[in-house]
Amino acid sequence: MTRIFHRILLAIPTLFGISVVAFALVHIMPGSPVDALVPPDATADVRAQVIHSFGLDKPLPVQYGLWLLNALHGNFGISMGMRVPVNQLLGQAIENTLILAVAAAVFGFLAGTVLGIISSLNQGNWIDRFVSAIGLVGVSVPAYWFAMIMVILFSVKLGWLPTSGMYSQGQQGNVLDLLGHLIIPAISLGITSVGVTSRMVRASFIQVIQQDFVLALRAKGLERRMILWHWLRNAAPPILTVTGLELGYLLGGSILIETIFAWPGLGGLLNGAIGLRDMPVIQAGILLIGTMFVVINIFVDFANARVDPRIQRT
Amino acid sequence: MYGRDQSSGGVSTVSVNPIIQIDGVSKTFKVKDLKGRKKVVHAVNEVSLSVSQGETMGLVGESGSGKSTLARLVLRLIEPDEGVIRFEGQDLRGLSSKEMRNIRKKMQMVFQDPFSSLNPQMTIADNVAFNLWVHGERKRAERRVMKVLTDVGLSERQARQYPHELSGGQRQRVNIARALVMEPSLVVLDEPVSALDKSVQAQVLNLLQDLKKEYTLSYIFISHDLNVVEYMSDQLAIMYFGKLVETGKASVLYTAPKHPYTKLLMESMPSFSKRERWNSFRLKGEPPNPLEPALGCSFRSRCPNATERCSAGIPSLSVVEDGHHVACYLWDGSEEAARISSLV
Amino acid sequence: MEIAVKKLEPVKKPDLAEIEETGQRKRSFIHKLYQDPIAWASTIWIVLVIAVAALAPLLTPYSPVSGNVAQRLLTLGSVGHVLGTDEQGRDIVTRILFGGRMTLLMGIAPVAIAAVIGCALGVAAGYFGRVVHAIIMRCLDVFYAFPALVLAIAISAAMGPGVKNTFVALPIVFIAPIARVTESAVKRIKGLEFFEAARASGAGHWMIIRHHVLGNIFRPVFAYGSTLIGISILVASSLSFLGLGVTPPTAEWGNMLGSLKDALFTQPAVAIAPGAMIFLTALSFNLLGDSIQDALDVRS
Repeated sequence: MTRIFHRILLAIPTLFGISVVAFALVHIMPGSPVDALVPPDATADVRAQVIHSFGLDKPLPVQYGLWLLNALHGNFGISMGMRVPVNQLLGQAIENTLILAVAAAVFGFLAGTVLGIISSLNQGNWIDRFVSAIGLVGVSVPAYWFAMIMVILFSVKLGWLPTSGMYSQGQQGNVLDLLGHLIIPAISLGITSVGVTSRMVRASFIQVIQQDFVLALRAKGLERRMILWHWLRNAAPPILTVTGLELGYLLGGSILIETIFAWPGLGGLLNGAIGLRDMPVIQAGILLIGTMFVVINIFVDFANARVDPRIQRT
Repeated sequence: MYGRDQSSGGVSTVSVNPIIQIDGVSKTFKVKDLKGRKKVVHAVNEVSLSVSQGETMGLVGESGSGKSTLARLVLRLIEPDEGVIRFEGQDLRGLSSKEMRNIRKKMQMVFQDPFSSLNPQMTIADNVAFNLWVHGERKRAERRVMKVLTDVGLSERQARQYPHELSGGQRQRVNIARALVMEPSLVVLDEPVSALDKSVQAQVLNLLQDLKKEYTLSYIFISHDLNVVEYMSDQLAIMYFGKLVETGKASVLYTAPKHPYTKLLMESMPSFSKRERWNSFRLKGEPPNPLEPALGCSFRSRCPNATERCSAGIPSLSVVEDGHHVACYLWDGSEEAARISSLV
Repeated sequence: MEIAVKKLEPVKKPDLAEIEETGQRKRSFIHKLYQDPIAWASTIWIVLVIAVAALAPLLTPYSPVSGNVAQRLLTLGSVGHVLGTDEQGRDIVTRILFGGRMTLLMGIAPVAIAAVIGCALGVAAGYFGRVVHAIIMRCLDVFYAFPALVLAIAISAAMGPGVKNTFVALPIVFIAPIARVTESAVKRIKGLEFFEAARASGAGHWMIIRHHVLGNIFRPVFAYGSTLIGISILVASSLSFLGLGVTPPTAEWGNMLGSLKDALFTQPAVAIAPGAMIFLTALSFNLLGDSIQDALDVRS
């Protein structure tokens, strides 16, 4: 228990830093922050209200404090583009993005692991090289271009899969429909993960295979399943770490993919906001993504500690 | 001129023209044990020593005895927690970095590992010349560097090579050259030949002896290898767990050591000569844990002659005869001690 | 004393006793790259891109920024437009040639800038005492908390689109990882004996850093930096794709994809080329980076 507590404690300065960065973004912009926070045709009353609740006439540190306080209560201001409070937009968006990101992560993890294992078992021969090439392609290809190609191939030419959106008209809540819409975006988003994960898995498995204890286990005549289990247990920590990190990067990549597929998630929200310089939304988005990344890292850390007995458990 | 030194307030080896005088120096390190608790390690525990000009002081001990720490304290690479170090009579405490830099010209160190002790990105000549550059002498540097490199037996061609192109023995010679280029008075050598093959060791040791005469040097020669130390040293100081247990002339200690630990060391030397074989005794117990130092003499847990007195307090160095000091209750001059020591 | 005593002579030939320790002549790193076919392939591609980007005006009669709208979205293999035209009627081949300039610039320059700043921070954090180290590393941790793309997008969004702003946003993203790599390299050196010896000679900080630290951290930092160029290209083109970064009408492979995205259904083929260029160039830099890492014996 103390470990989690300790870890969270360590994360606080980082979270603090993230909030400062998110806050500072508005002030880097040219022009008055008020203009960024309030639509140009707002009445003087609304302006005054915003200035008051965000304390824009007060010194910067005070402003930051007020912003943070508001943020912790879920008040991120009013979206310029949608004319509604930001937090209204966030709820559904986060859920949709998580669906996409998790799907991409699962794909990346599974495909990457399988490729990595195949590769490590065939070290040196053409299978290995071929698989490594796939991995390399994964990290070098621009995800959005890959997505476009997939769309051209599977949607435009072959018509197998829908081209955009989360659900077809009137199919809200239909899981099968969702899956159909999910395939291309998830694969496009996850392709980079496949690359990173497969390289990682390959290196990790090769290292484990070579370790003496595996030979010792096999000499004892241990069942294959048990060997695999021990194998996994040792290779798991770095793989877990990488997957956790990848999930974070996927949150970033989702901005691009959601744009192409008109996926109604956090990324799409941010993209629209960028076009309009809709700072409240951007700030909220950055804060959320950064925080989620930190939280994921804490989970990964914790999971590692459970799995890897070498890590101290004080 | 051997005898008790009144002015330094403690018993130490005092000799003619001390070039370096170490007085009551201690150094502790804070560490965390396996469970994360904070502990203190007494790396060096109230050590007093002095080295004469032109003399080689052999500092002997096993790993963990504190000898390397002591070496670094002498050169002020680490600061002592207590005690005074005097170089050529001058107290080194409180010297500014500029003054210290001047003194550093006169005391140098030769390191143990021939591989990591030279900068792999610089040529041999540059590695040696760096010392000169530090002290602002760039113009005459090349000539001096070549001279010292020739003195240690390396060629001009080798001067332009890089460390990885030389062998271990050659690199160690570069190490020596680097120390000598400033023409120091004192050279501290921390296990200078331990990483070399036996056949190469002899060459390097001979080189050191020749250089000592040619450059009129004083050496502090640190090693755990008694054969090597015997060859090089005039005086000897034995360390155990951060404390000096015996000091004196090398010839005396090799033939008639008094401290049980010294005897143990001498006995463990593969001996060819007709040295006396003392009654071998069996060691008992376990070596003490540096993180949990026990009270009293640190050797007591293994010493077969240990008495109750040995747990009571740490024995300090007392005079056995001229220039020969032992830190053991058996030799502190009391009656009981005399009785027991006659039996051992 | 039974040690064999031999009077020393100046060494003229290698001592027999010392031969087994003689370090092999380390093949120079260029020599190793020379022998790596993948390194060759990547380098050739990169040189090709640089060459055509530099010679672009000589290679094509068309303008990269203005076009004939009446000829918009011509397909591949059209007369006079091998790769077709974009939605403004501009020749795609031309835009690719000119776009190469921007993409290469966005790949290399931000990494170079970040390398200088990151190295300085890393050396400071690694060399000086605990306080400096703690301050610098904690600050860097904040930047580490963001995925690179998100941070780049956030900063670009705040500062506004445009090449100049990208030159500020991208290096900020890379400074933290470079500083970390530098810091750990410096820490490693601090533990080596030649570093201690330098301190024992009484040298001042700047002399030690200059002669003993910098030369020895070059390898790992350079190897790491070379892997960042591919990433920089991808991030920069992503920014342009989103409308930040390089803005129309200037040609850049990322923003070409951004504006062709809507033509996906009418004329999909034209969208393939710019993306393929990004892919191949990023791939080449990644492969080259891997080969450099291998040649320098530095594996992260």
